[in-house]
Amino acid sequence: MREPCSDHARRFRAAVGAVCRSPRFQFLAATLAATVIFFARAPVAFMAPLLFAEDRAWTTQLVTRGFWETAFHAREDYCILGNAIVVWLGMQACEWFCGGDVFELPRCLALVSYLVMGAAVSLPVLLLRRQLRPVYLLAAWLLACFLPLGIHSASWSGFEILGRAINLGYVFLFIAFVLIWHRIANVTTASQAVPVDLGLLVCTATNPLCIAMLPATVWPYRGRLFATRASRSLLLRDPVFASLCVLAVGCLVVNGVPEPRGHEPEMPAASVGFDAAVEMGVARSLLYPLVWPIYHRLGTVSTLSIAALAAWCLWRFGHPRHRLVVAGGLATVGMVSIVLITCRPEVGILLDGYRSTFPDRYFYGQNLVVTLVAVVFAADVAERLRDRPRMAWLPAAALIGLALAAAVREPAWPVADSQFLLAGDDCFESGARRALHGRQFVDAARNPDPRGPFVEVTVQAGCEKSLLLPRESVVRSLAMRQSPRDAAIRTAATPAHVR
Amino acid sequence: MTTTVNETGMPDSPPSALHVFVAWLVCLAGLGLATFAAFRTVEALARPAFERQRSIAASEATGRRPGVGLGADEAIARIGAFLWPIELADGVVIRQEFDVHRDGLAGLRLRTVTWHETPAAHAIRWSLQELSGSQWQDRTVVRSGMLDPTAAADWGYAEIRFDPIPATAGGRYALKIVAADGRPARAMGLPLFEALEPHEPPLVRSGSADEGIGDGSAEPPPAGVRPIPANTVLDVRLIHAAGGS
Repeated sequence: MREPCSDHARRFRAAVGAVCRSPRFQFLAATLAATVIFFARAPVAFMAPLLFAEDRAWTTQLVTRGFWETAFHAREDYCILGNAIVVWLGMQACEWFCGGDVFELPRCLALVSYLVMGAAVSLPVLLLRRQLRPVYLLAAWLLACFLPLGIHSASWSGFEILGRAINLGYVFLFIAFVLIWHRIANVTTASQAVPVDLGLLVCTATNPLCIAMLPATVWPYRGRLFATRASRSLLLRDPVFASLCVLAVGCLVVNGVPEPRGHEPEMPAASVGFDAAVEMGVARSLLYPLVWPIYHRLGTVSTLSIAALAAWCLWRFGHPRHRLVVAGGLATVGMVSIVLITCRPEVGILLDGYRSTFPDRYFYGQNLVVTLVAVVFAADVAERLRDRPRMAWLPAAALIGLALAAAVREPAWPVADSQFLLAGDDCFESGARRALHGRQFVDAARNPDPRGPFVEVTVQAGCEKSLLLPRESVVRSLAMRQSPRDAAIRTAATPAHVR
Repeated sequence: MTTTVNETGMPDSPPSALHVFVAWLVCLAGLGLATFAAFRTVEALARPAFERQRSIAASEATGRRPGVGLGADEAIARIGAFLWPIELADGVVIRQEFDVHRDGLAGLRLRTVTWHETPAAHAIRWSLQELSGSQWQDRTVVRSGMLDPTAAADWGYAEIRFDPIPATAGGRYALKIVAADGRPARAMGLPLFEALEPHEPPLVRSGSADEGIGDGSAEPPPAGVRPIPANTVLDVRLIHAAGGS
């Protein structure tokens, strides 16, 4: 006779097993684990309640000008839709989980930024399961989580990337690469295509270099596009292709034509010589995630030699079915490198002849793409070695070992080594008190206005740049904190004594 | 489609929608709890290291000794050679600005000189101003009181205690001292020192005790008061309440 309880328990265990094996749950678990790893790597963003650089400016713009205006007009040269979504989510998290206490906004923004970065590096776990075996998905995830960010610089710069909305734009390059690969390889229905294309639209409206990657999505249709008229008309009725067309139109509507940026005002205009171009485009952008243990020893000749050797290995040992992915990855890195060399020549000066990797923010997006290409290649090599079981595990082990070595090499919470001194960064609340006390009220255009709906808060001692926050929110947040400070000011003088 | 059987030989029924729903809830709750615990653990481990490194970073910027314990005092700047004393008499007004890096400012200690004598009674007012604005141009008096010169010791410290100010970290303050008009028989003074790090010198003027110090160091030095050179500072130490961070 069957026992109902044990039957229920068995069915429940089976359901739990199914949940744990489901791609969505594994993606969620990988995202949260990556979030914790990024927090562990750079806790500064969460611990020092400081709205960093453009995080402050974009928060001000979201508060004063609204979401869409910020997303599409915060910068003159390109949109920042993804960054604006992150800042907006941070503000909503502050509202939902912290009761609208504006002084918790930097922490909420940091958490959302860690989470978005975690989701980005975990995307292959969700979308590339058919392309990569679990151990290679794990290797890709570990390599992305522990990608070195400034261990070869005088200043470790992970803290200006991890937990900040400002530098998340570069990760959209990696997201776009994964989405395009997934779209080409796996998407067959409109319900699968629409979310992917929406994701690609966000990528292009955040990082303009993603626009140049979009033509790759047409690859599966190349045969039918250039065949007979009948095949073309059939193609137009394909909902997946129709979604792609809508994406292309949406991309044009949203982005228009990107404008080139000028030089950084504080940096001298510079031209990049051959050696510096090799350093920027090949050593730092392409090889660094794999050769970081010997990066300081590289030079132009050794870099080109290693690159040539890697290209030969990719061609010789890579599986032909993955050549498109590898070529796409290399083309992405090449495109970004060309843009960097032509539009950001000053970065070549900062790299200083293989002595530094700073500024790492310009390179981590393409480095993530390279790690994925390296994982694909390792999977191909393992496939070739499948007849030798003792050797077949070596490629995965090598990549996982490289990721763990990077984790070990990572300096532990290197606040003092960072180029930004964080002393005095915790004056957000006191700055708001001073601003209220000093009646620093302004309107949305920052004009002083005693009845203005915003209060101009100095968030860092001695820094002239300020943050605009809704006056009501600041008043409410201060009241929530119930600090005795105002009362103390009113009581003013206490009898002084001299020893 | 194959049907699995359990150990009793009966066919296994697949999990119902309720089973799946509860399984998702349990798995998500477990994942959330594990993430929360991991996050809090990392935070607990990182916090002391973070505070220690930040203290080191702050000390490198200010030249002060890192890791000053709670309740201990710290100088507003490293001082070098003694230059000359400023006598607190004849309506002299002294204003010394300084930065505060920690919360809970609860007092100040002022190095005094008395010329080997016990100073005579003389009215000396002090006030602590909180500075704000992008150029620190706005001032708010947050604490004030009187100094008693008769208790001052030669090369000792006059201690000013007040209700702790909770949120002082990152703030800029000014200590203003105003001596009454007239000249006591034995005056108390504040020694001026060379500053061993860049620091705002004190502003000093004499003759009109009720007037505040002007808006900047561009003021011409008043008659009777020696011009205060740049990179000089009074020996002022900050007292923080235990529990201030």
